[in-house]
Amino acid sequence: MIFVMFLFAIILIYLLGNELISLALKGKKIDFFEKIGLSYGAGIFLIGYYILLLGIFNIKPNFLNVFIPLVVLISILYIANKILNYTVSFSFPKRETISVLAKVFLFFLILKIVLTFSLTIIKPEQTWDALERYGVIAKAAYFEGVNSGFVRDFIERVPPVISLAQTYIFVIVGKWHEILGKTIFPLFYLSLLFIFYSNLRKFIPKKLGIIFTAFLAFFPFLSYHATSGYYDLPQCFFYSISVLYLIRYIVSKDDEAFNVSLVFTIFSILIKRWGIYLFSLNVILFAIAFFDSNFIKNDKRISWKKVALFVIIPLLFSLPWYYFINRIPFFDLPEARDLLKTTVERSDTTPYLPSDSVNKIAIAFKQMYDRFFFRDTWNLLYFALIASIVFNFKQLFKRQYFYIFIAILLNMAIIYLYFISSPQAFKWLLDGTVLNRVAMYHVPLALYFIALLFSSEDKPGRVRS
Amino acid sequence: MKILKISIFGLLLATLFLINISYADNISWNFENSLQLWQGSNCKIEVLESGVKIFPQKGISYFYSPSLFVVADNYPIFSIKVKSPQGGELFVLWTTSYDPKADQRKSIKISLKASNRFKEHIFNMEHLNRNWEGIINSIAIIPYNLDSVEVKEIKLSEPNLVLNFKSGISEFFGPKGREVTGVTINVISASSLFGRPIHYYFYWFIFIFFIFCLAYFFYKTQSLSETWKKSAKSTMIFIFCLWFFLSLNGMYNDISNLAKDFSLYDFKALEKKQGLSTGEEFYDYIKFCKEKIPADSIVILYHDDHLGPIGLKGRYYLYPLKIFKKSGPNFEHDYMLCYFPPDDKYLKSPNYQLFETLTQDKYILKRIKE
Repeated sequence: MIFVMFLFAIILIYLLGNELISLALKGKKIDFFEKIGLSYGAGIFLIGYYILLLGIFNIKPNFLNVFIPLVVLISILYIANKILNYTVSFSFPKRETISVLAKVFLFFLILKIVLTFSLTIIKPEQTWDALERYGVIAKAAYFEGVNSGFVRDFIERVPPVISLAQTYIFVIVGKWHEILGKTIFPLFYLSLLFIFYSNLRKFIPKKLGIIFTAFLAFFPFLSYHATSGYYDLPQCFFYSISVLYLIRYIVSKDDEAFNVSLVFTIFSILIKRWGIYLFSLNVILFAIAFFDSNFIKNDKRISWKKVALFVIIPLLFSLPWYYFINRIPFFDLPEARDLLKTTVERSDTTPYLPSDSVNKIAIAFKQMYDRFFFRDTWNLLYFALIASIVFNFKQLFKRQYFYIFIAILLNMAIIYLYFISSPQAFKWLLDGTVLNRVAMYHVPLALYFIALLFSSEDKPGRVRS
Repeated sequence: MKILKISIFGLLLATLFLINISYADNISWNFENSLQLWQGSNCKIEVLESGVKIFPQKGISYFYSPSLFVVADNYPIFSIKVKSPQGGELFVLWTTSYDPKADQRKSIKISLKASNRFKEHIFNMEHLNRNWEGIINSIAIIPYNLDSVEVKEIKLSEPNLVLNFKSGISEFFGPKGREVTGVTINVISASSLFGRPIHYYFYWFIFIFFIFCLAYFFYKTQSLSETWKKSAKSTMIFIFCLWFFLSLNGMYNDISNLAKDFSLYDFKALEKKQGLSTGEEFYDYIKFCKEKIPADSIVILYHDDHLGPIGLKGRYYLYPLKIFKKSGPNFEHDYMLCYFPPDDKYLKSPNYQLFETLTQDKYILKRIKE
């Protein structure tokens, strides 16, 4: 029975997400895999967010106060989509014969997915943070609600939406079952692969789509996080999708892509504290595109209203968490304070930096280089990235490549700045604690960039919407 | 006559080459029927015909060498013939003239597969740990997560071609690059070969391939732009081939991890799995506390540091008993859970009274509020 209820809980997530995505896409027909992936992300976030809102009203989640509003919300969205004629909007992939090479990659891709799911469900949660920082929120929120002193003690420094999505699973199955709770993580992994593949397929042939999707699945660190119960994979999922669709909007002025990007940017801000930095990167990227469109190319493709929406709406949606922690977004985060402090100190001492800072800057650079290229397992991603840039330098400044490139650069810059911003962060860089986790957020973008450049063949702009 | 001379000379050279690749001076300890002056600490030892059998006890158990005077540079190859019926891990530690204290910095880890036959593990210590230097004063092995382990022979050797090759294979399939380092740190290192990450060799292969492509395509096309374009494409394909190889290497880890998990957890009940994952002894203590202490009580955990941060897992499984994030002895609490406490200062303190006892080292204190 418990597994039937679990399946039911997952189906509800998809139904809710499907309606929201249909609304965002205004009923536009999209690929089946893309729809499934986007629906999962949207559904699971909304449910976690809803349980957070219950906490504000001091309501403990139970089957009735979760299930009924959920069904009502799905119904409302369904009716709204019907009225607006936005429903049933996916197409099954066309049957195409694929080469032996693609079949080999497809075989290993499926094997990898099966292994990842098996490694997740065979054992309980094992990693420290997943248990004592995140799992404990899911468990305690299930038993006593979000607004208890104990839960608040934990959510003070971490937005709890993903843990609360696990709470939702417990509520629907009627039992605290940590293995079922952590199954949401490999589903993020699978959904990311679906969306990545669908986006690639708009620009590259099926064979290459499968190969590069397999490369994404094969990253040991990424698949490990699908089994570990950390928030980093969901953060990677929401952020990378928000950027992919934002760039789709910038390149092809596809309004539906803007809506999806906006929705996933809202979600991305509330996954980890790092989300606020990633949000600011999206805003910078969009601002660059706005500036480029309105002042350089002067084609007025992007309106200031869209930029304003893109800034204000995600911040508004993040307010419930800040209600819990009683702080002002961004500026009250300790790292942000350190970052600002360091910047001020540097401007005071310009042009001469203190020698330890110079060392720190060099050491941080060396550490990142060592870890990305040699010591940690990102396979040959960063080398292939550099090789792609060198081999396709002329193409780099074309719109469809340029903005992904900028997004990757911005990510690198924020990681670098973060690590040199405070002694604690610098220590984490040296012992390897956080670097790979924050690097993971831009890894799908880097691979996407490599795939597009590799397949470009001097025929850029084959944007199929 | 000339052919005969050449043949004899060739034979001589081949013999020298064979000696060079297969012979290596060594220092060895054969434990068949003998302890060879090695000793155990906190472990039971049986000397058998086939070797020394070590039974680790609770806490850290060592099996250590007599005093040595080995120049590390001359004997970098460490080999150990060992068998363990249930599989597990073995740490090799050493002390040097520079640093006479044995610690984790001067150690390597060996993964043992469950087997009833002896297997020889060969490692180039210089490749695995840069602290293999100076004069080695002693060597110790620590069995970890093992009920027993049998050691037949330990050897320190000079390097030669065969040993280097064997140690390279052991290094590539060794724990580095296979395991997540640190439970919360989450680093998965790249596999290494001959003391360098495998990527290092791949970059050289790619560079050489690219140079070869440039030469080849220029010879074929006589056009610089065509040469660049074709070389770039071919090089990217070559990169993807090597990338695929690394991906398979990663997948090999997944398969072996799944096999390991399956042998431990298979189809056991969730609670049993939680016990195995947390450590059964600690999990039993958690269950004991949850039975005895009223739900919603605020508790703190007092334990010996060498047990690691068990309080973090404890916090999750102890719930509805609550260990707050900012807890400590000065934090407001109702009970103190003593699990292998480092001392009995709280037991003797007038602020606490003994509430329940599971064993001598596992008990609960109730805080007396003024």
